[in-house]
Amino acid sequence: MARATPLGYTHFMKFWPRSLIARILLIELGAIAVAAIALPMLLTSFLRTEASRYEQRTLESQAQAIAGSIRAGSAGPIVRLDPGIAGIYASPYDGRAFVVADAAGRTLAGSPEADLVPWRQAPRTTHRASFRAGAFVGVSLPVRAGAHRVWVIVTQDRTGPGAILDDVVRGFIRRYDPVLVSILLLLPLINSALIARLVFAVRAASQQAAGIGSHNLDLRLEEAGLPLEVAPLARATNELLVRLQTSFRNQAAFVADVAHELRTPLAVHRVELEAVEDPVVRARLRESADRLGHVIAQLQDLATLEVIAEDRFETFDARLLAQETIGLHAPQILTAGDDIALDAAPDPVLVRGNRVLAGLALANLITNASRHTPPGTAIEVLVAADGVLLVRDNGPGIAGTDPQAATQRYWRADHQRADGAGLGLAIVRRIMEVHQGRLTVQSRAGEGTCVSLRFPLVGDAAPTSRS
Amino acid sequence: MRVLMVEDDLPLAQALGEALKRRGILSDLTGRIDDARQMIETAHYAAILLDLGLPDGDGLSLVRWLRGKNNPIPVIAVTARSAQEAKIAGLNAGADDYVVKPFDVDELAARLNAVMRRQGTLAGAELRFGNLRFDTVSGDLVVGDAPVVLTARERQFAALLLRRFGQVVSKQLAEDQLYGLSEPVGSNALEVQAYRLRRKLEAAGATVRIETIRGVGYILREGAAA
Repeated sequence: MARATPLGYTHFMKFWPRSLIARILLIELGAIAVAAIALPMLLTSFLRTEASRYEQRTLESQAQAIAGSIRAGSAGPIVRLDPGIAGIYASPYDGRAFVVADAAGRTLAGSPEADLVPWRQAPRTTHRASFRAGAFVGVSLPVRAGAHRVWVIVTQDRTGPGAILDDVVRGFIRRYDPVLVSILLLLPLINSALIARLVFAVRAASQQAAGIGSHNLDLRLEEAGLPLEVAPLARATNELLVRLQTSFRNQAAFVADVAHELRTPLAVHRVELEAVEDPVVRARLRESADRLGHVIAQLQDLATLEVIAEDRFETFDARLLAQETIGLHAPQILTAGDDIALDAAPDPVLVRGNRVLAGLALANLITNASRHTPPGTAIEVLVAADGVLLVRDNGPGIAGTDPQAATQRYWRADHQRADGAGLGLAIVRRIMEVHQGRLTVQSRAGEGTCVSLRFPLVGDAAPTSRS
Repeated sequence: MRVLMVEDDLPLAQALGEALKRRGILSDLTGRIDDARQMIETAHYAAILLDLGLPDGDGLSLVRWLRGKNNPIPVIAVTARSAQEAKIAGLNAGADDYVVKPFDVDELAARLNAVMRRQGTLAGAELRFGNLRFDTVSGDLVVGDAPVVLTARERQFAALLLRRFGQVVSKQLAEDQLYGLSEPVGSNALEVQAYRLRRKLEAAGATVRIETIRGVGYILREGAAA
């Protein structure tokens, strides 16, 4: 999929975390860093703009008020200042000052401290103008008084003790910024917590899914606890499981049906071959019919396995199981000319598992040991106290097998056989999977074969009074 | 001796009928449960060979019908399921025994004989294997023509093994039957019994023999004493 990605992209991807939470945290922290720097700057700029607009308006309205008190006299314009306005300008506080000057720069009127103010720098044009001189800001308003034109110049010291705007802004930002950043930092925390909950739910569902295998396909993921956004995935998985289970069952049922259908015609063969006169041919036919019957039986067992593996496990005595299984198969083993014996621990060996399946596994090993060895083979079954069932024979073993690879080699060697022994071992392996037990095969040419099954022991193996 | 064969597969039924006839067992054939009921009510059969997968229902329903009428006629179920499956499903529930297809006719005949004996359907209460005859009522054992003298325990043991001829009798079962639960049993008491009985059979030249399955039990099977 990511075939022709540019170098920069892959480089970027190296630092780009795969974790959703990490990504969100990264992006949010970046955004917060930008906000923490940009917001105070923007805020300062907005406040300054707003403040100077307000300042301008104040200066202008005062200039208008002063302009309103200018009359045209005979000797030129006369300024009669309203006492209220005069009061404002009585003190030099804030560098507040006004001057009414004519075009030549002569002062017609002015506040007491007007000379301290650089009012001469004020533009005297036909239109109202704002100006700035050093620390002072001001407005210059042209007023007509009779034939004369005078200018009302009003100033204010921006750095004066009353102009605390900058301090206010700075102080405000100093306090506001940490609060803002703290509030912003809460967001990733809250987001992380929310996502973590989601992730836990997904992880729990994943664990459920991981625990589902061919032996417990009837399990389903819990959809109830999942957020709406993730529930569809669980639902789809569950639906997939249903389809899988159905197809497993169909397959098993199909195999069982085929095997079932094969049995009756095979039974006819088995009965009919008795009429064959030649004893050698008869024996050969009987042998092949028996082999066919064996394969069919194993196919059916394999199919049955898929259905009964879903049964609950129980606690049983492995020794009793071995006794029963050997008892069941001893007649055919003796008939084949082999010998079988059981060597069991003195006390009950309580294991957990499906008794029928465990018996089937053991039966497969026993019959294998008899079928694939020459007559006269001694088969020994051992049941150890640690839950290990061992089937050992003194047959020819499997040639060319090194002990390390014994299991693998044994399987491979067996799958090439056409007589169903491979199937038998597939059954055993499958049963041990269901039990989460262990299967080991050891074989050496000329020294026989030893297969062991380890079943999980019952945790608190309380000895039963009677075995 | 006539048995009723309930089997819907005609080739199998015919072949089996022939094979049984060669062994002196005559059979009537039907492929339907309904017909089987009528035949059982009108004729007397020594046993029934019952296929479980019949077109008009489960063969076991016939067994239930029989047992519901307190008819003790021995039934051997013939199934096309695997032995394992048959065991799981308890297919022989109600039937006296079962065989799995494909089966050996000799084995089937032996089982037929066994279930009929168990039922007392066969005349007398004599068990006969090879050159050995055992009267289950008197406990007399005869090998060839010569009677074999047995102790009471040996007689019990012989009866147990003979009733389950060809099958393994577990040590546990033998001990329970021979000594009961109250009597203390020495660890090798049963072994001693088996040894003695085996020696007596060998000495009499019996064509059956007691084999020991170490750790499991004993089995009586065909095979001249070595």
